[in-house]
Amino acid sequence: MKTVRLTRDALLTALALILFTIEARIPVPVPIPGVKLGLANIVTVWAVFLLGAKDALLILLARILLGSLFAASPAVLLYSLSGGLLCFLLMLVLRRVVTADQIWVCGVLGGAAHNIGQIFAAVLVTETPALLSFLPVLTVSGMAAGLFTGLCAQFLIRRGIWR
Amino acid sequence: MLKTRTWILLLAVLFFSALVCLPGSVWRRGTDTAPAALGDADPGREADPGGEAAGGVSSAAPLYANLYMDGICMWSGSLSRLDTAQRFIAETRYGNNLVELEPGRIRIADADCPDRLCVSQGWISRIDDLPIVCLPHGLVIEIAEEAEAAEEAEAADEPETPS
Repeated sequence: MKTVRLTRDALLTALALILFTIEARIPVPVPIPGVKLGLANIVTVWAVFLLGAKDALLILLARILLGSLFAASPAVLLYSLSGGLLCFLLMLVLRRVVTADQIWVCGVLGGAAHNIGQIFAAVLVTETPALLSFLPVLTVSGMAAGLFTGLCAQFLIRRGIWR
Repeated sequence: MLKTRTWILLLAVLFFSALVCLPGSVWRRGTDTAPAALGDADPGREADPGGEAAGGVSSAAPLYANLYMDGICMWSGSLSRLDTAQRFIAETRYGNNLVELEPGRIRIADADCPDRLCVSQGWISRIDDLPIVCLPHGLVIEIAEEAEAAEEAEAADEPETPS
């Protein structure tokens, strides 16, 4: 049982990292830091709903730690960490509220929460309140990207692959 | 349990309120990065970037560029009083950014950060332009009506830049 869980979580982490790395190769139309698709979030949503909070948190943390080592400079770690955790917490709450047909809502709100968490971390770390002017832009982009990833996650969950 | 229709309504309200809060500069971005000559050729568009606008702006309100590293303003320069292009290297704890100034506008021309998003953000020239950020380096360039750092810093930098 324990081995099954370990293997499954490791596989999902690897999957999230692959998505994360592929995404870094996709050019972003708007050159604003933080605007991106967040494909790795599909794995998080999926895990929150099908595996539970503990495993989802482990996968999320492993992905963020390794991802910031692979793709970006370690300075970015703090931003993605705070964004990821805020998104995760919100999803835990939403998980009790939404039905199986409404999982995309989790994606949308999670995406917005991720970006908002990131901005607040950036404001605190760089102590530059001017960064708050990015709030509306990143909320809009987070919701749009979250709709996509949330729908992806919903289709995967409803197909019941690898329950 | 909310109905799907309620969720859609709720999210749409959130989305559009964020959309309304978007600073107008977001829609201009992209056209701003185009060469200044393009702006002069099209009288319908506000011809702000470029030297012509700098003259007009300087009489109304002087514009300054403030450069922050980790929240501390390390350099300020007047954009409206500038008459020649100049560039200098901003050395942060994490890496270097090549800052380029032209009359009335400023950009990061080159950087050694991993994603180089700061470079693709292009020129900024107005107060309501989103600040240029290089998150990996903790560097922010903002346009304001006041110089945050002593302007002597600019004068001290000037002799260095041509060499």
